Amino acid sequence: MFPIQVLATILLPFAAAFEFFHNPVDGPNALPILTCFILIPNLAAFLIMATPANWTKWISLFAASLELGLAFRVFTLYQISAGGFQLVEQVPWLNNLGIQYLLGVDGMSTLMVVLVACVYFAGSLISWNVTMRTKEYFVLFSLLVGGVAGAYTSLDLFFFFLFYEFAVLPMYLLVGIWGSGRKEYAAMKLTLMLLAGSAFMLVGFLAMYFSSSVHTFDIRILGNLSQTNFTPEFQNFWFPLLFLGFGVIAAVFPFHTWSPDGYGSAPTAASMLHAGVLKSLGGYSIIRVALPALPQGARHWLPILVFLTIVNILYAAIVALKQKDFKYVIAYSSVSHCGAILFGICTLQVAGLNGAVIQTLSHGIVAAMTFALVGLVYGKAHTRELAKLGGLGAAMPVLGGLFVAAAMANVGLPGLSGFVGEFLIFLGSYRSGFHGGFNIFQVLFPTAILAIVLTAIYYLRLVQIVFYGPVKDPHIKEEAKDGSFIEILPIAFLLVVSLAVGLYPKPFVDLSNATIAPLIDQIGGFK
Amino acid sequence: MAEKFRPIYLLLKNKYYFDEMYGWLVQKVLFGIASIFQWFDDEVVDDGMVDGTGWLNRKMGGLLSLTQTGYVQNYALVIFGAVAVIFLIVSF
Repeated sequence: MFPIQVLATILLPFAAAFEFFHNPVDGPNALPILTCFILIPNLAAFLIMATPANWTKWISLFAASLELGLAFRVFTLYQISAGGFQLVEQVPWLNNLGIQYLLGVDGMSTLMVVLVACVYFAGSLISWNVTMRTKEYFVLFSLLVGGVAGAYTSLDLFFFFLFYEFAVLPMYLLVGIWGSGRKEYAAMKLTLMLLAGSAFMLVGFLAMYFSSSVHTFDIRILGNLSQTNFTPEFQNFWFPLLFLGFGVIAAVFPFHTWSPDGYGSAPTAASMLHAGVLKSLGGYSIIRVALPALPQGARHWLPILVFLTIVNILYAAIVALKQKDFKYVIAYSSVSHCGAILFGICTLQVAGLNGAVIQTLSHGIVAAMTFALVGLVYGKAHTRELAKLGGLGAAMPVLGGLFVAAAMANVGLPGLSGFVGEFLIFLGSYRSGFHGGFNIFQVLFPTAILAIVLTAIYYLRLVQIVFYGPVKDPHIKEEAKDGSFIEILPIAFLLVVSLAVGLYPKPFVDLSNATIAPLIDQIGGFK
Repeated sequence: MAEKFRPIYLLLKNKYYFDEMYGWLVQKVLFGIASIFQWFDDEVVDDGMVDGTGWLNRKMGGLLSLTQTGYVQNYALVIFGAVAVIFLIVSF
């Protein structure tokens, strides 16, 4: 009976959302689909507050399924041939200051909308067994999703910033209250570092606002001002600051230490959402805001940024080798993969940037999957210390198998999503052009490739230590059980998405290219 | 044969020691480098730079808080001194 109820709660709203928004939304009576996308998690939060505690999980699952249906609707509604921003919703808000409520998606943000919904859905199911202060937990979790949903669909920098801050604050409470280990320290560190990064962001936004002749926060207009309003000196000065501000979100070296501590302490669904969705906002924002508005700055700082991102990839991968905590390995792996995204952006080349977008999607799905699995193993074995874990594959064969699949997706096995993103990034870096007389990419390209080998070493080491080999602690073996239906469902779902991107990447790459190809033309990147 | 060409026999029998070389490269060299990186990440980046920033802020706050004595006389003295300094600067 139980699985049937769950499946009904998933499928009915999914189908309803898909059916309800069937009409072309450009018509006069059309529903504002993106506003609904932002409203659903926020309304769910208020509904959870107002209803009895035993409704909580069902409301959250219902809202997440509705969100998923809506996201797939956006995915099918976006017309690649037309390109540009679609499903635009525009309401003047503070007109004399140039601030408006402006939503819209292009190919890249359509992929991010799908990513947000997938991780929200999986996170809702993974949190099914949260028993401590369930209502508050789900309220904050839903608000976090509402924040990132807004950040990925906003085309106005003011609202973009507002939604981003909305997302960071629930994270602080989620880590601080429902976390494990040094949770207060981790929550404080994560929030302070992310807020410090957003201070750079805000200053950069204001600089662009005041330097533009039209005084607007509209991303579409700011992106076209690079030739007319923003002088090369202006761009050279502000691009690195914006890159740093967005880079802190993406855990760029040396501002990455919030990430392992934060994820190490965060409850499972919070680390899934943060690693999968909020962290991806860093790379996304560089492509969305910094590159179109300040392309000269990007070219000027390219050698240093390329070096920094390669250090990021390799450094995090090497540090991951020596971690003693299961979740810290995954956290450093996430830092390394986000470095690959930034490296792809720095190629300023069509394939490289497309790779960065696909890798953002892939990292979101795969990181959510691995964090979910670590959370489940921790819940059953009551320890994350690698020295105590061992031989769990016999006790939990399904979870073990899923972890191997997740590890392979991280490593970049063909057929899974990680391969598509990484392949395109490395292809792009090889094809990328000269800078200052020599081709920095063809020198550094082999070192970046090395990261794949390192990733394989630390993931295979994890699989070997945790799931294979002898059982080190007999208590763990006695208590550990395989995942239940409700635990396996979200991970299997994410695996299916990863397989879909890996086996047939064309619709995803086409969507990404609808954003990237015009951007490369506009900023004069490499083809 | 094995007795006659003992060194070659051993080399071939151990498959040119390739497995040993790989094992040594990963376990000794790579994990050795990783230990150094791990130390750097823990001690320099995390404890040094990140927590150091927090420590510096706390210390500066502590030093500045010494000026907040709560005695009105102290504040009046500082105001008087500041006025005197401004007066001296303006008059010369």
